[in-house]
Order: sequence, then structure tokens, then C-alpha cells
Amino acid sequence: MWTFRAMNTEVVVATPGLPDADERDLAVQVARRFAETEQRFSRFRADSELSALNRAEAPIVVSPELAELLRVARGHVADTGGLFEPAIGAALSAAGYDRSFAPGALDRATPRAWPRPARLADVAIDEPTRRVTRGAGVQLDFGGFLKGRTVDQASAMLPAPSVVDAGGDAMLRGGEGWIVDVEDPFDPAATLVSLRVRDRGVATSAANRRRWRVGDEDVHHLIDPRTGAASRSDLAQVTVIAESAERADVTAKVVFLLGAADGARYLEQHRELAAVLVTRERRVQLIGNLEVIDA
Amino acid sequence: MTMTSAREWRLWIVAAIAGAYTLAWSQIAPPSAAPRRVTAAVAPAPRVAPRVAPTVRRVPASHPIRIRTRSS
Repeated sequence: MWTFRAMNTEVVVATPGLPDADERDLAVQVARRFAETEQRFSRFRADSELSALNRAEAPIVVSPELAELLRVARGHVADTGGLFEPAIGAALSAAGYDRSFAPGALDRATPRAWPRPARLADVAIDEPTRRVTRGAGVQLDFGGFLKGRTVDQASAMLPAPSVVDAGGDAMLRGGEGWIVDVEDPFDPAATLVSLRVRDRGVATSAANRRRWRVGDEDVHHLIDPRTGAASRSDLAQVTVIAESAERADVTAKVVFLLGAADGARYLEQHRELAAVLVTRERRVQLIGNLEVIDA
Repeated sequence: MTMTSAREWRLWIVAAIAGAYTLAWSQIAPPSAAPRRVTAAVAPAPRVAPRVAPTVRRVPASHPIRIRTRSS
């Protein structure tokens, strides 16, 4: 099992059954994929292609990779009724999340003015030419969606059985199943429930880790696109099991924003998904087809 | 200079002025019948990570392998 640092988290790669040297070579290839993706699409790197688009005052022609990412993101926006929204970069910056997260690094004494809510729909894409026109106020941030997508792409580079885990966004393939410990959001050292997962992606959204202070107020990174401000969900944490890490990440965020009641209804309408919901009152709800091995 | 050659000179001068005018106008405005083309800037080629082997560290694996999911 090998690890490296990327996207501000620790990434783990394992391909049990392969000789050590082969497993290491694959881990290096996966690390390179993460590094290239981060270089191209990070909101925090001034020389990334995404930053060039976020600065563009006129139409620009983007790479096939960025055009594809925009197309896929549009699909998630449509599928989630706009609750998944990557055009919230300006709101994140206004909230103080204007650089890579580190505990205490984003604290500030006074709040900034909240920007007008922006939409990916305000980004015009001419598919044949890949010419993109950014709407006023749109700042794109692909966040966890990009991390999940990169996990899936990395997983596809590996023979099964294999696991790619990027700080809780994971794809687990083959074998007899992998054990996934769901962290207790109120006690990060404790495990809330353990699940057996095979050929599925996993992701968790919570407001307990990426938090900072603005004046006297606690702020977190889960922006509700309906208000353009940090979510006031009654959920503390959502873990989703889906066919891919990308979908698990998108769904975990959407269910978090919907809250416990509407989030459960959303999941019941998508039987291919399973989830562990934890409310701010510490109530735990298991939804869908989950193999619980320890609770 | 004869009358004939003077007329030829005038024709040459008129033709030269008309040619220069047409050339200059073609530089500042396209023919009105053709749509004006707006050329989009091309995003600067993103720098990708250098093709050196990234650093990976070996960590002990549990049996069976467990992962921990949390917000990250």
C-alpha cells in the first residue's frame, strides 16, 4: 500500500496481489495523474487553466479536458436540480476560502460582502470550438467533484482488486469487499459504523473539518447555491455509496444541503445509492443497501 | 509632355489613389456582407507537472484493508 499527498489530502493506493515493485509503479502513475489534474484545475494555482478561465474577461478556447469537465458538471447540475453548483467560487472566496485550506489559515476579523449567486448556466460553451464565455461573477470551483472524478480515473488505471482513497473519497474494486470505517463527526477518533463495500465509490460530506472563523461566526465550505451562503443544514455528516466516487461525492453534498428529511426522500428516489446520515442531534440513519459489519 | 501622356498620368494617379484607398479600407473594416469574426483568445497552455516520478511512500496495510471515510 502506497501513499502520497495531492489535492490537500493524503491519497492511498493499494493493489493487493501485485508484486511490490509493480504496485509502486502503479502508485507513481496514479500520483502523476493527481498532480497533473491538480495543476490544470486547481482554483488556488494562478497558473492553472481553471484560473485562466476564472480571470478571462473575453471568450477563451479551453482544452478538451476542461471542456469535458464542464460538460460533465452541467450534467450533475441538471440531475440535482441545481443543488450541485460549481460556479460558487466567488461565494467561497467571500466566505474566506480563498486559498488552500489549513486550520486557522482562513480566519479573518471581518466578513466580505456576499456576491450575487452565480450559476454554471451563466457559462456559455460552444462545443465544436470549445470556446467558453464566462458569465459575470462566475468563479468556478470543482472541489470534491474533481477529487472523486480523479479517484475514478485513477482506479481505472489499476487491476482489481484495488483501492484508491483520497481522504475519504474512495473507489474500491474487486476482492471480497473492503471495510469502510465511517468517521464519527463529533469524535473524529471514533468510528460510527463499519461497512463492507465492493465495486463501489464512497464519499463523505461534513461541515466539521473545513471550518474557520469570520469575526465571531463559524463558517464552513459547504455553500448552498440557493442562498449563496454557507449551508445551515440540520445534518452533521453524509456518507454516500454509489457506482463511482464522483457520483458519491456529488450526492453526499446534495443530500447534506437538502437536510435530513428531504435528503432521505432524495435517496429513496435513487435506489442505486446508499447512505449514512448523521444529524446535528447525533441521530444516525442508514438508507439503502448497506452491509453493516460493525455499528 | 503631350496631351495624351498628361491624361495617362492623371489616370495612373487616380488608379493609384483608388488602389491605396481600397487597400487601407480593407485593413480597417471587412466587407459589409461578411459577418465580423471575433477570434477567441486561446487559454494559455497549462503547465503540467514535470515528468519526474512523484514521491510515494510505503505504508503498512491492514488485512483486510480498511479505509476511513470523512469529510476532506
